[in-house]
Amino acid sequence: MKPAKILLVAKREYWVQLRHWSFWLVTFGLPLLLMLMGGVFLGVFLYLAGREMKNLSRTDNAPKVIGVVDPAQVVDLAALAALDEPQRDTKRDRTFRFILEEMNLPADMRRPFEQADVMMREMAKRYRYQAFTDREAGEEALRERGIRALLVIDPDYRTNFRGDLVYVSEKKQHRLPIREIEQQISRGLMRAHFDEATIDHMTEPLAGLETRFLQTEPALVEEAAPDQAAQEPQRENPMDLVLGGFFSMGMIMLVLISTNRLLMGMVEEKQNRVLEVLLSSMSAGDLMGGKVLGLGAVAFTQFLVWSMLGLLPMFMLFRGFDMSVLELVLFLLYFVLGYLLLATVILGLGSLVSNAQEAGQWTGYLILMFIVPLYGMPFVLKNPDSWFGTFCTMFPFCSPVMAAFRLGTGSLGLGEAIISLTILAATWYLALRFSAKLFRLGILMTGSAPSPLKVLKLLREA
Amino acid sequence: MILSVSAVSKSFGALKAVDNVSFTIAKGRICGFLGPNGAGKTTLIRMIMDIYAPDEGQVDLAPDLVDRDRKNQIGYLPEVRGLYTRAKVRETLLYFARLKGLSKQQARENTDFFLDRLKMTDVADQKIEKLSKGNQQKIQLISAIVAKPPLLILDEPFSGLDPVNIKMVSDLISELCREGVSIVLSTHQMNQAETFCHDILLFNKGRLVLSGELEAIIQQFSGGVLMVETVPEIPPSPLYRLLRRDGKENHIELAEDITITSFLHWLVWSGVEIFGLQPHRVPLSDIFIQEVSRHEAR
Repeated sequence: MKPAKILLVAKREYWVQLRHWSFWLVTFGLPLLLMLMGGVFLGVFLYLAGREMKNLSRTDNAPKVIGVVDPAQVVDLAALAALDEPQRDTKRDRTFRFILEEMNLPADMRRPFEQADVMMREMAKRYRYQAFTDREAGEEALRERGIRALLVIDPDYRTNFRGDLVYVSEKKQHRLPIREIEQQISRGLMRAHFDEATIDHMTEPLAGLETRFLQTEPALVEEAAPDQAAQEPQRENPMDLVLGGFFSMGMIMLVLISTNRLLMGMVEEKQNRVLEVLLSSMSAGDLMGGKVLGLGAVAFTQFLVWSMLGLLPMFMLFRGFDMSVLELVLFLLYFVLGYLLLATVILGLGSLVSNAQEAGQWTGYLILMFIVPLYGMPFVLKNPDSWFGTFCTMFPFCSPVMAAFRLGTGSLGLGEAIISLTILAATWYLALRFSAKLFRLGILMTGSAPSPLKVLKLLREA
Repeated sequence: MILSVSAVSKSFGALKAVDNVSFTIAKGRICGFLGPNGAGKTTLIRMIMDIYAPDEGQVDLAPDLVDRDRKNQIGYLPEVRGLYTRAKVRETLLYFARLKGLSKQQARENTDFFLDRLKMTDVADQKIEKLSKGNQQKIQLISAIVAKPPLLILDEPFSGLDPVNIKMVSDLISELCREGVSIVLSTHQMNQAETFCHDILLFNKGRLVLSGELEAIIQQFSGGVLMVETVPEIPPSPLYRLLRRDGKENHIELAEDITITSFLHWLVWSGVEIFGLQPHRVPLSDIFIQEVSRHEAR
């Protein structure tokens, strides 16, 4: 091995790529395009959200109160009033809280989110009920927008079951908690015949049942022990998902672009026969090493530029990510090893072919394996310890992308990462040995690409 | 001796591309690699260049060169040319020179020297794809010699060159040889081999079928046939056999063990006036065809 020659080749590959306009187009053009698309998406979202706010505020600004005229005395208003305000802390609430409290959004961008938050809180509030002595008083309150709807129970409701639900106009209808009212009316009707305990039992007849099993089987998914859960916490910050996505997509883009560059470069050198001249000055292994190193440096440069373009605005907008230095180091290790593995295998196989079309056929399956984790990400997000997540984290051709995603979402434990990186490094070492043999044999081959059987034969001969 | 090839063989599957070949190349000599297509010349060159490893046998450089990187000691002009066509002339040459182990300074000096020597300085900053085929060929040649290696392997160095450039490249090759560079010249052009080579190696189907000093081989195949212009006629003698007489021209074949010098001494002693003497030369192309056919017939 001649390090000086490896570095010379690496340096040349690096500068040739950096001097080519396509590098700058991809490096700056792609993030700008994505930002532009994101901006358009956000703009459309804000516009639609603003319009929806206006529509909702036009629909009704009356308090969330339903008037009740109940001469038959079937609605237990006291029971309805006693119902608790629901405790709401949904994912959507947390996201709004994060956006409004943690992000440094400009005022214009902040306003639609504030309006949306107010609207969501208002929608989440319980309806209250107000008794009216007669229909006229109730309708008067409705006209004056003191209530949103009026429920009028017929005096003979217990025999004819009649009544009216009155709104101000056809356009101003609301989704009323009908089920809630119905339950109270049912209870009111039953109260004439049964005591409260019987009514409770009749309204929820299965509430007191106990669940039993004749046989018990081992659980398919073991519940995480409290200390284990503490070791591998899911991130609280919902925007960290963005980081997971950014890392995994970034990994895929970088590795695919750089390995494609590697392959195309080699096919071109093979076509213009410069490889034989190069091999008269250095060994095939040194040439392969120089190319992998040089184009890896190109990919790393691209990664730095993308990080600055993509992550800096995020750091400016958000309070920052929960990612530790260790996790960043792990990400870099996955990136470097993932690139080295794919680049090494692609160079070995690519050396056997003579044109880009054949090269694409040979490397398509490898690249497919590399991006398989993308399809399982939603599944892994819900259940990081699932077999799919674990398999993809350990399988070397999938692990860089899956690990990058799980590092972003904070669901990859250190022990798991060490095992997975060890497997990845060992696979790369084996791939290096086989690919170097193929590269030495295939690099000066001409004509059509050999069959897989022929490749195995070549490997044996090498 | 600068290069020694000992009992080297190489197979690709069932095909034996090179079969038990041995030879040496002397310092400061030009050795012709001759043979029909598929004779194994390129495979042999690639083994010398350490691109392929031989299945058997070994390739050694002179003892004073073995401590250094073998690839830095051999310049190679492949038959199928390969250059970075989108790169500029000077930067390509500097890159190849650096790959041969030259320092930046040395690479720059050598590049400028050879660009000037082959009258290419004007195009040094042009992209290679903009050059004519002949000029690209000259750039390829410079890339092989830019490191001034002690051994040079040139595979068809004159293909694609016009007569003016052939002369320029020929002069350069002769100059390098005078400076002590050993050159392997692989070619199908027998007249070029006859013009340049001191020694030849003739290959067929992976085997070395003929080797030695060019002049000795030609003389050997010419069989001691001479044309002597004399007055009067040459007297009969067991020293020679008369093949044909045409006026003053006597076409004769010398008897075995009789050299031209001793025959001339005898002519002078016999009182015959000599007006001219010309050894009859069998062209190298005839030797090539004859030997390849003989090998094929075995």
